[in-house]
Formats: sequence, structure tokens, C-alpha cells
Amino acid sequence: MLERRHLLHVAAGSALAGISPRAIRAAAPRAVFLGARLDGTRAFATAFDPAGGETFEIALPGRGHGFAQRPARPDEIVVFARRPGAFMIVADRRDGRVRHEVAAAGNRRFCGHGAFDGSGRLLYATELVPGTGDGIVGIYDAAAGYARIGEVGSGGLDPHEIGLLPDGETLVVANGGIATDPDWPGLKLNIDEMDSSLAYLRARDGALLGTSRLPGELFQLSLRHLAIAPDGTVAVVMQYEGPSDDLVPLVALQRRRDAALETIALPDRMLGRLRNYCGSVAIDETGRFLATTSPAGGVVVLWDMREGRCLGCAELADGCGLAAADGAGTFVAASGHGGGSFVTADARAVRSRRMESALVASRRWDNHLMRLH
Amino acid sequence: MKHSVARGTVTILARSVVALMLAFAILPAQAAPAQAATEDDYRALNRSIVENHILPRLAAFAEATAALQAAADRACTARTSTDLAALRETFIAAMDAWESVQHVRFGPIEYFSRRSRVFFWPDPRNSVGRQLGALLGNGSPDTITDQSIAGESVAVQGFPALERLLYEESLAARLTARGSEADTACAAVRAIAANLATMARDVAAAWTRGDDPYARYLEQAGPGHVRFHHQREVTLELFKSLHTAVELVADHKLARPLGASIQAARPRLAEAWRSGRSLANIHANLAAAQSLYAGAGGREGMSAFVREVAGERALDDLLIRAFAQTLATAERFAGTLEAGVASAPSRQALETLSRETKALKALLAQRLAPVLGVPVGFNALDGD
Repeated sequence: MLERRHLLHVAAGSALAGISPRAIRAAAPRAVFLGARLDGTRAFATAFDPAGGETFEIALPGRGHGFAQRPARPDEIVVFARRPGAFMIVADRRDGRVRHEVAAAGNRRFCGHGAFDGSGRLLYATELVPGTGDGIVGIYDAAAGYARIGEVGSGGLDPHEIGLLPDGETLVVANGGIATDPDWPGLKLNIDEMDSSLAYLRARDGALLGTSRLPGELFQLSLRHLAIAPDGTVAVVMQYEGPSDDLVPLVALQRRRDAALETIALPDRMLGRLRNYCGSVAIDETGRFLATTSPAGGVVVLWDMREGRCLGCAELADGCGLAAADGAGTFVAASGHGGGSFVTADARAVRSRRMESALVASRRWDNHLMRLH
Repeated sequence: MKHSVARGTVTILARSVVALMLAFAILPAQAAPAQAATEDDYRALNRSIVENHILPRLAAFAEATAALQAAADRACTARTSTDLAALRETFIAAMDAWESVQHVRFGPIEYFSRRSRVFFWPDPRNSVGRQLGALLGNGSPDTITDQSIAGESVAVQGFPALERLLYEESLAARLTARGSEADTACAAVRAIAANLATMARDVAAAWTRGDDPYARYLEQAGPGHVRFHHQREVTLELFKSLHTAVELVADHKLARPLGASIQAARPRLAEAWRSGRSLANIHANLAAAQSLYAGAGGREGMSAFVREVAGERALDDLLIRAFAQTLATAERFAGTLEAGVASAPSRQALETLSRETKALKALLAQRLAPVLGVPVGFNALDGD
């Protein structure tokens, strides 16, 4: 009944506007940004359009983290619970209506991120075994109501963000390498003997194709978040568990699976400003520019991936959520204090413009944003 | 009769302070008054805390561990129960000194994994037990030395391993005996005590001596400084030390052994149950937090900044009361934490302490941080 009325409504809108390319575009869902947020102890995933207007909101059973949008069926989105998470929520991209709530499998917890295969049939979610921290990639069949049909090892401890390479066949997982107490997820148990890696898995059968690590002296860098460029370059951002006075690289690129992880240095004037922590990473629509957020330092940093250098930064206190926006080198970032900014890089400078939106300003945005199509 | 009235009054007061703290914590943050504070205000605040809080506590820690090293040498030479008792006393004094400064988690204590080496905790996987077993099983008095211990697992280098050697009956018995097993245990005791003394001395020296003392490095914060671009960023580190001191007590040291109910109580998750010092450690942590906020004499340090620079007298009054109340609750509790969590009547008092520390933590993060001009976001505090 509801769906039927919705269809009639859309049809009426089209009729009023007349048949024109503009009307057809208007009838298709606009690009929106989906962000996890907290309101006291209540958690939501809230979507807003580029003007900051609310489009829909999903009430979550607990704190949310990352998202995935289903290819070939882009009306379906998935919200993953924050590590160690008990749920993932499958919802309608148009109105946020919940289609499925999937509980973590026995003795498994969600790690906050997941990725679909190219066809949109299978969903891969990073998971861990409480107690040991062993990394798992859980495999879910979207066509069967997100039934869990199998799992494979992630190639390390503490798997976090996962993505599908443009070849459509290879998954890449950032294994953070940090063991945490199952009862107290904030409590890190092995920072003196961490082992973080980037692992490549064959999507078809989960075979471990290879792992990459940073040089040994950087073993306390936890590889956690990643973004994948159209040419297959993997950009990975880190958090450092060593002394806070150390000044270490926090961004690395891997241009091919068999190439070395290549770290990008910060310019001297920006050393220390990132507080040894990057919380989120995104690549712009051209595939050339990279943005990272450092909430503790309160900065959004923009990078040129082609030249492998830092372009500059914009300030956004407690800014973490991040997604590509319309335009070359343009991103949107959101703050845990409320509010968000558009940040743009060009050849000369990094510019930032606050979003003029009561909605965005009044919500406290959690770690991640995703741009939905 | 009079006694019970007094107790009742205290309980009501305790409840009202917690309620007041929570009410304050959830008020929407007002415009940060500290925007009026100048770089010099922050410099003065940071300097007073470094000079009056951090440096004396690091010096006391170095002194207490030097005494521990001397007592370990004496006990392991004499092997008498009198010397063992004296060693245990110096152990407790040294651990108290650590608990009074462990919240200062930035700077030289972070280098070379020193913090884990001094006090590896929590230890849900029993790394201390396993590694100490391996050390004693494979080692000998010739191979366990002051130098070798620093290359062992972090789990056997500090207080938790030493506590087992001094308080676990089967191990402690070796310290008053002779023979190869006893000599090996004594070598471990001496090496760990020496290692603690070395680390404590090195940390204190790194703050005050050498070409680039850390206290001066902080003093130089400002434009062009490689790490701290403003004095306010040093204040943020000091605030985080304060917040962490209370958070560790609220979320870990109390909550872990308490569990959700008496059935779920886990006394052996307490920090130092073997020596019966878990509650004393908590008290030392809270007293250190109080002193970091208000100085040794009260109304100094951050308290003076909140009152005089930011003009937030009501908040300062509340924080002073909140610290005093929380400490009084900890002091009123008789007995050990280990026994207390497993008995219904004493759990009540510990749960009060737990509520008060949680409320205090919320108050610090949500009310004090903005007034100090260092608002801490939840992404920054617990990102993933």
C-alpha cells in the first residue's frame, strides 16, 4: 500500500514537471551523505543532502560506524555496528526503512565496516573473535536476506575497513593488529607487540593472496582505514600507538599489490598537528585527491595521490566523518561537536566552507560519513 | 544513635553531590569563557602544574624505587623474614609513588614502552604469570641481571611481576631460603627492582636534565614548536592526564572487579589483589587527580584558572566538592576491594564510589574541558 502510494506520488511529480531530462534526474534519488551520530546514549544513522537538509534517519540499536551501498541494487544500504558490534542493519536508501537486522554470529563481533562484491550479491563484513582478536571476514548472501553463508580469515588481528578493488575480484582488508579486551574494547592489550597489515583476499574463495606491512620500526602504526582509487591504488591511514611525541607518517599508498607501502610525509609546519591519528579517509571524484581527518588535531588534510604529497589542511575541531562531494578535490567532513565543512583543494590552496545547515550543526557526528548514490 | 544520623547525612550528601554532578555534566556547554585566556595564562597554568605537580611526583617515584632497589639487595643478601617484610614495605611505598604519577602518560614515560614495563595491567591473558614462569624456569642467577631484564617481555619488568614474587606464597618462600631456585627468584627480584629504579630515575632526569629537558620543551610550546603549536595544547595534555586518572578508576579499576552484579564480581581482576593494595591504588589515583586539579594546597592550578581566568566560580566550587566527596567515599571504605566486591553490604559503598567517579569523569569531559578551552570531542577521545 505504502509502496503503491509512493509510486503514484512520483508519477504525479513527473507529470507536473513534464517529461524532460531534468525531471527524470529529479525523480532519481539525489546524492546524499549518510553519517552515524550519537544523541546522548541513543544512536542513529542520519542522511543529509549537499545543502544539509535531512533526507532520512535510521534509529540504531547501538552505536553505528561504517556503511556499504549495494551495487546493482543501490536502493539498499547497510549500517555496521561499531566494534565490537552486535548488529548490522540493512535499510532502504530512499527512506531509511529497515529491511533486515542481522545479529553477529556466535562468538563473532562486527568490526564496523563491510563491502559488497561487484554484483551486489555477496557482502563481506570484517569481524573478530572476542578474546583472541583473530580477524574474520564474514560472508553474507544479500539475495537470501543476508544469511551468513561462510567466513574466511582476514590475515591478521583486529580487521577494520575492507574494500573491493576495481578488478572486482580482490578484497583488501586493513588488519589493525591491536588486541583488545573483549569486555573492555577500549583497552589495548598488545601495543608493545602489535602486528598490523594490509591483506589481499580473493573474493571468490577467500584465499589470502598476500599481505603488506610497514617497515619494522613503524610496528606501532595501526593500519585501519582505507580508500580505493579507480586505478586500484589503495590509500590507507593509520593511528599510532607509540609515544605521542614521535612524529610518524600516517598516510600510505600502495599502487600495486606487489609494490611497497609508500608512506607520504607531512610538511614540517604540519608535523604534530594530526596527533598521530587519522580517523577516516576518502578519495575525490577524479581519483586524484585524497582527504584524511584527524579529530584529535582538529584538522582535515588534503593530499595529491599522483604526486604523493600533502597539499594543506583545514581546521575542523573533532572532525572525523568524511566523504567525497561534488567537484574535483572536494570533500565534506563532519564534526563530533556538530557541524560540517566542504573542503576543497586546488593547485594553490586548501579552502574550507562551513555547511549552512541547522541539521548538520545540531548533530554530533561519529567517525564516518558515506556518500550514497 | 548520633552515629547513625551522621552516616545518614553523609549518604544524602553523597547522593545530592552525584545528582548535582550529573546535572551539571549534561547542561549544554556554554560559550567557552577560556577564549578570553591568553597564551600567558596557559603558560602560567602549565608551568605551575609541571613544577608543583609533575616534577615532585616523578622525583618521589625515583626516590621510592631507589629505596626499593636497596631493600631488594638487602633482603636477597640476608634472606631473613625481617628483611622480606621490609622489602614488602618499600614495594608498597614504591607502588604508591607510581600510582600517584601514573596519570602523567605523555612525555618520557611513553618512550621505550616504559609505561607497560613499569606496570603491565590489565592482564586478562595472564602474560605476567606465563612470562614470569618462563623467566624463573629458564633463568639462573647468572642470566637474570639488571641489564638482561630490560630485554625480557614487558610483563616481567615491573610491579605486577615483583608483586607475585613478594606475595605469592610459593614464590615468596624462596626469598627466605637458599639454593638455586631461591637464588634465581632473588635474582629476578633484584633485577626488577633495579629496572624500576632505572626507569624512574631516567624519566625524572629526562624532564629536568640534559640538553633538552622535557619541561623546557613544554615551556617552549608556541608557533614553530614541532609538536605543541600553542600553550593550550600542553594544557590539553594535562587535562587528558586528569581525565585518564579518573577514567581508569571508573571504567577499569572499579568496574572490572565489581562486575554487573555480585554474581558477576571478579575480585581477581582488581589491580593489586595479591598485595591487597587495589583500593589504596585507587585512592592514590583519585588523590593525584584532585591535586592535579587544585594543587597541593587547593584552589591552585586548574582550579585557580577556572575561578580567576575563566570566571567560573560555581563550576570550580562543584569540582572541589566532587573531588572531596569522591575521595571521602574511598577513604570511608574499610577493607580490601577484593573482599568488598564479593559481599553485598560492602558492594553498596563501592557502587557509590563507582557512580561518583563516573559522574566526576563526565563532569571533567563535558564541563571542565570547554572552560579550559580544550573541548575534547568523542571522536578524539575514542575514535576507531
